[in-house]
Amino acid sequence: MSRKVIILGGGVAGMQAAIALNDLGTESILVEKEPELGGRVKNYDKIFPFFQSGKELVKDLEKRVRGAHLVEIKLGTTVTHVEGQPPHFQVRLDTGNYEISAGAIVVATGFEPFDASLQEEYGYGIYQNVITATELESLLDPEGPTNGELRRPSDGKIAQRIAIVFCVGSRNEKLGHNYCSRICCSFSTKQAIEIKKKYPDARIVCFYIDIRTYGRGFEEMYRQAQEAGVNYIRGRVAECGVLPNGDITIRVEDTFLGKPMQGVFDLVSLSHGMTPCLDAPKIATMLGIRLAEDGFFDCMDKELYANDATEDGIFLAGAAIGMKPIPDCIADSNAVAARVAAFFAKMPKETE
Amino acid sequence: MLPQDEYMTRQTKIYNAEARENTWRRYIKEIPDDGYFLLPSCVLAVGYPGAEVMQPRLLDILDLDWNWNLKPEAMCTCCSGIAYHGDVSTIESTLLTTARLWSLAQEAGYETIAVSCVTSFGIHSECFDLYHEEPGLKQKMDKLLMEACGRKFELPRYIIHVSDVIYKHRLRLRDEFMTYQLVDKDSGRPLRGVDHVGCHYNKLFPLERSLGGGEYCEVLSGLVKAWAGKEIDYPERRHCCGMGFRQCMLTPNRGFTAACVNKKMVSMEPFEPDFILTNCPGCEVYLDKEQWAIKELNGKEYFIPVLTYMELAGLLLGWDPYDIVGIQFHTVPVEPLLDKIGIPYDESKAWLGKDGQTLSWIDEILRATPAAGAARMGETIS
Amino acid sequence: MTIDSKPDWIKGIKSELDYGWRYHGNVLGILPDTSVILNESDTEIEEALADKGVKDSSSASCFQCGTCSAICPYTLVTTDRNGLSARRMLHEAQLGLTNFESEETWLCTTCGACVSQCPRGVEITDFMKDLRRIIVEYGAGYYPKSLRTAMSSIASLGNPFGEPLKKRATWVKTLNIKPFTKGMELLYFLGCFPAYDPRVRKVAQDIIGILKKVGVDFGILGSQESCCGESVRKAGNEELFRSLAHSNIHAFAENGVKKIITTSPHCYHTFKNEYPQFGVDLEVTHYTQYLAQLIKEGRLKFSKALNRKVTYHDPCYLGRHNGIYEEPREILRSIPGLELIEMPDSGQKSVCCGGGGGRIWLETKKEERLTNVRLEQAIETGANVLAVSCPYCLTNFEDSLLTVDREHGIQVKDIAELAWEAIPLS
Repeated sequence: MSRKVIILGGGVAGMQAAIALNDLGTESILVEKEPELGGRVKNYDKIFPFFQSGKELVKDLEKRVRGAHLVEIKLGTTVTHVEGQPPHFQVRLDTGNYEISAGAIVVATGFEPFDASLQEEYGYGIYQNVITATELESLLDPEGPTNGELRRPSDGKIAQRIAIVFCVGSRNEKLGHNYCSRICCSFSTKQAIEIKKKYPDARIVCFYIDIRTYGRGFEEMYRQAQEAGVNYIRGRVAECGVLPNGDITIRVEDTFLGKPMQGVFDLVSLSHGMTPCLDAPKIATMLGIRLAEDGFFDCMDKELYANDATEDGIFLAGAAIGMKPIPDCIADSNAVAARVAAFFAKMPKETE
Repeated sequence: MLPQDEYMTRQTKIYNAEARENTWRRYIKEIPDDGYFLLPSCVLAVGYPGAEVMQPRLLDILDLDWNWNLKPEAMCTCCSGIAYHGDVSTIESTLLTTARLWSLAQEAGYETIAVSCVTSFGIHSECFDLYHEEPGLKQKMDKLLMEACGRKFELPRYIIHVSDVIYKHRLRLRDEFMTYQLVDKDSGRPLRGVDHVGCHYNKLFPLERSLGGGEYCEVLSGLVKAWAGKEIDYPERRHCCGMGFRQCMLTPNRGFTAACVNKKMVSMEPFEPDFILTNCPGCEVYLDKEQWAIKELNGKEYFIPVLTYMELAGLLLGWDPYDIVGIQFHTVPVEPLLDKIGIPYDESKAWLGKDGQTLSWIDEILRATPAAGAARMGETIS
Repeated sequence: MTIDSKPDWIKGIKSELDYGWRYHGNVLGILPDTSVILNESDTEIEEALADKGVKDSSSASCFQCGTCSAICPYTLVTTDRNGLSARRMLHEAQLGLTNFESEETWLCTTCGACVSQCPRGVEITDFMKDLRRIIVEYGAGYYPKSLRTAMSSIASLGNPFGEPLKKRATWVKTLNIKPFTKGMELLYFLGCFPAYDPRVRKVAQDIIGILKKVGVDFGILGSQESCCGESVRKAGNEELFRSLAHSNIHAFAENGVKKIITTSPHCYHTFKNEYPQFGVDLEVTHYTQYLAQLIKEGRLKFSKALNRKVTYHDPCYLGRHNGIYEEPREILRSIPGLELIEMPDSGQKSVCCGGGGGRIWLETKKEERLTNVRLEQAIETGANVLAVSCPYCLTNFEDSLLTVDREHGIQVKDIAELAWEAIPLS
C-alpha cells in the first residue's frame, strides 16, 4: 500500500495540507493546474481582519512547501483519472504517461467568484464603472494596474464617491444560490477601511441586508470602519443606471428610515459571493464522491466528519467545502492531515 | 448637440455594448415565421390610427399570411384589459374573452396569436399561464365558452406581439424594402433612439415571453440597431411610463402618470435622444401627451418625438407621413425627426379629409384640443 | 356624412384643459419625486454637523440596534406623533439628512436612559445637545418660542423667570440667614426655582431650617448667585452657559467658597461634572447626601414619627447620571414610622419626569406628560406620599396632580419637607 497522498489544488489549503503531512512524515504530491502556487490569496494585498499581506502569507507557505522534502510539487498539471479502491488509488495525471499509486486523496480545489454579470440589474460588464470586489482589490494594490490609486475604469478619475453593494450572487433564490458566502461582509468592510485610510475625504456607502462580520476580530473591524466614517445603509440596491459622464446611479430603500433613496456614485463595487470551483462536478464524478445541494462537496457527517468526503480515503479542505476565512482553511488542512494519518494508521501494515 | 466623435467615444468608454449582447441573448423566444392571427388594439386605433392601419399593409408587402379576411367589426373584441386592470370585471370574464379570441383564431386555422397591444399581450400571457397553474380551469372555461357563444377553444401554440414579427423580419425589411435609414442626412451620424418597452411585455414573464429579458430587452433596440440607429441606455430606461389604467383613467391619479413621464424625461435628457421608440399604445399615448402637460405645468419643454415601431417602419419604408403613417396626430411634432432623416413631407396636406378636401371645422378642433392643436400652432394656454 | 357638418362632441369642449387635467376645479400638478437623494445633501448641513462633532466616532459607531428608542421614556406617552427616535436621528445625522425643522429635536430630556444601555457607547444625549447647538448658533431650524423667552431672561437677569436679580434672596431675609463670608464651612447654593417659585421655596425653607437646627455654619450668595446654566447648555446655548459659569465661578472665588450644597440635582451635576472644564475644583454635594452624612454622624436625629407610606422617585440627575440612589433612601428610612415602598422602575430604571434638557421651560401637552404615568405608578403602590428630591420633579408632579383624573389621596413632597416634619419644633 502506498502511503503517498495526492493533493488536488495548490492554494492556501492545499499548501498547508502538504506542509502538515510533511510534518507527520507522510509523502504527498501537490497538483496545481495553474503555473503558480497560491490560488486566490496570492493576489490579495491585504487580508482581513488584521490587514496583513496576503502575498507575504502565500510566499511564506510556498517557501515552507518547497523546503519540505516529502512534498513533490507539480504545476500546470491536473488529475485526469482515478481508479481503484482506497487505499490503493491509481492516479493518472495529464502530464507524463504513468500511473501514481496513492493511499489517500485530498481535495482542496477552492472556489470560483460569482460571475456578477448574471445579476443583470447591476449592469456589471455593461456599465464600465461597476466593478467587482476582486477588481477593487487589484485597484487598491500598490503593485496593481493603477499603483494603488483608486482610478475608475471609464476615465481614470480618482473615485470620491464609492458604493459597495453586499450580497451579490448569494442569498438569492433567482440565481439558485440560497447560501450565504460568509466572508463577503468582512472583506467589503476591510476594503472600505482601506479606501478611507487612503482617501479620508471619500464618501463610502455600504448597502447591506445584514452585517455578518462574525469572527474573532471581525466585529472590531466593523466598528473601526464605522468610526472611520463609512456609512452603512440597510437596504439592497435595486438597480444601477449610468449617466453620460460615466457616474452610476443607484436606487435603494433605506429600511431604517423607511424612505426610498437615489444616489449618484463615481464607482460601484459589487461584493460578489463565491460559487463552488467550476470543475467540482467533474472532480466529483472522477473521484466518485457526492456534491451537496449547494454545489460544494458533501461530507460524511456534517457535525463530526466534516473533512471526510462521502467515500473512504478522500478528504476535503478549504473553500471546496464552503467559503471560509483563511485561518479556518489552515485549520481544515491541519485537520485533514490528522484524518489522513488516522486513515493510514487503520490500514494493515504491508511490506512494499 | 454634441460633436459626434466626442459623444460616441465617451459612450463606448462608459458603456460596453458587446456585453449587453451577451446578456440579452439569455432570453430568446421562438417567433414563428408566418401565419399570424392579428388582433387589433382599442387604444391604438383611437389615438394613432395610422399605426393600426399599417400593420396589415406591412404584413402584405412582406407577403406573410395573416387573417386578411377577418372583419374587425364582426369578430374581434377588446381583450378586456381595461376592465381587468381597472378592477371592474371578474377573472372569469377576462378568461372568457381571451378564450373566445383563441377560438376564433383556431377556427381560422392559425396557431399563432399576434397581439398589437402590450396590455393585451399581458392579458393573453397571464390567461395562458393560469391554465397551467390551475388544474380544472380549462374544463370550466370550456363549459362557460360553450354556454356563452357555442365555441370550443384550445391553448394557442404561440402568443407573440406584432413587434416580435417586425423584429423577426427587420433585416428583410431593411434590405429589400426600406428607402431611408436612421442616419442624420447632413452629418451622417446614427440617430439616437431610446427604447421604451411596455411593462407587460418583458416584466411579467421575462423568461418565457420576452425577447431579451426584463433588464436589457432587445425587441426595440434590435430594430434601432438594425436600421442604422444607435440605441441609448439611460438610468430610468426600465421605468414604467405611468399609464396604468387605474392611474390614467381616474383623474385624481393623473398626477402620478405625469410624474412617471417627467422622471423618464429628466433622466433621458442628458443623453440627447432624437426619438423614443415604444411598442405599447398606452405608452405611446402617454409619453406623447404628457410631454405637453409637463410643458404646461413645469414650463420645461422636452418634446422628444415618440413613435411606435410600426410608425418608424412606415416612415423608413417611405410611406406618406400624413396620409398613411398619421404623424399629424402626435402631440410632440415629429417633423424635426423627418428633417433629420431626410423624409419629405407637405404640411399643408396634413389635415385634408377624404379625397383631399379641406374640413371646415378642423380649425376649431385643433384649437380646442391640446392633442396636436395648440402645441403645433404655437399658442400657449393661459 | 357631409364634410361640412360639425360633429356634436365639439360643442361640449370649453377649454383646452378640459380633456382631463382639472379635478374639483384645480389643475393637477406633477407629483413630486419624494425619494431622498444621497450624496447631494446640503453641504451646509454636513459642515454644521461635522463642526459640532456630530460626525465624530461616537455617533458614527451607532449600528441601529434600536435600544435607545425602545428605552426612551417617550415610548410610554406619545400619542399621535412617532415620539422621539434617537436611533433614527442618529442615522439621519450619519447620512447628513438631519431635519432641523422638526420638533423632535426638542423632545429629549437628556434623562440618560439610552446612554446607560447603548451597546456601542454612543453619547446620545451629547448628540442631542450638539444638534441643538447647531440650531442656536447657526440660527436655522425650529427653535421653540418659550425657550427663547427663558433664555433671554437668563441672559439678562440671571434667572429664567423674568424676575429682577435683586429679588433673588429677598424672601430669605425673613429667615435670618447670613450672606456667605470667607471662612464659613458651607455655601448653600439655592438655585433659580427655590429663589423664585413659591412651591419650591418651601423646600429651601425646610433645608435652611434643618441646617440651622443642626448648627451648621453656612451662608448663601444671594444676588451674586446666577443660574447654574444646566438647562442652558442642554438647550444648545453654549455661549450663555459659559458666561453664567464664569459669573458663578467668579462669585465662588471672590467669596472663598470651598464646599457647596445644592437644592437641585441639576446644579449639583453641573458644578461637579461640567464646571471643572473651566479649571475649578469644587467640593459639591447634593443636600440629600449632606443630610444623610449628618444622620450618620449622629448630628441629625428625627424624633417625631410620621406614620405615612412613602414611595420615592429617583431623579435622573441624582440617580442615573451620578449614582446617588441610597442617600435619599437612608434619610427616609431614618424617619420613624415612615414605611418606604419601592415603585416599579425605581433606581436606575427610573422614568424621567420630563423636566431636563430644557424641557422645563417648554410646553408639554397634557396627554404627553411623563409625570402622569409616573404618578399612576406611585398611586398603584398604595403610598400616600410621593417623595422627590429635585425642583423640576416637584413642579412637574404638582402639575400632574391637578390633571390626573382619579380619586387618590397622594401628596407630593420633597424629602427635605418630610425631614423637617420629623424634627420636633422645640
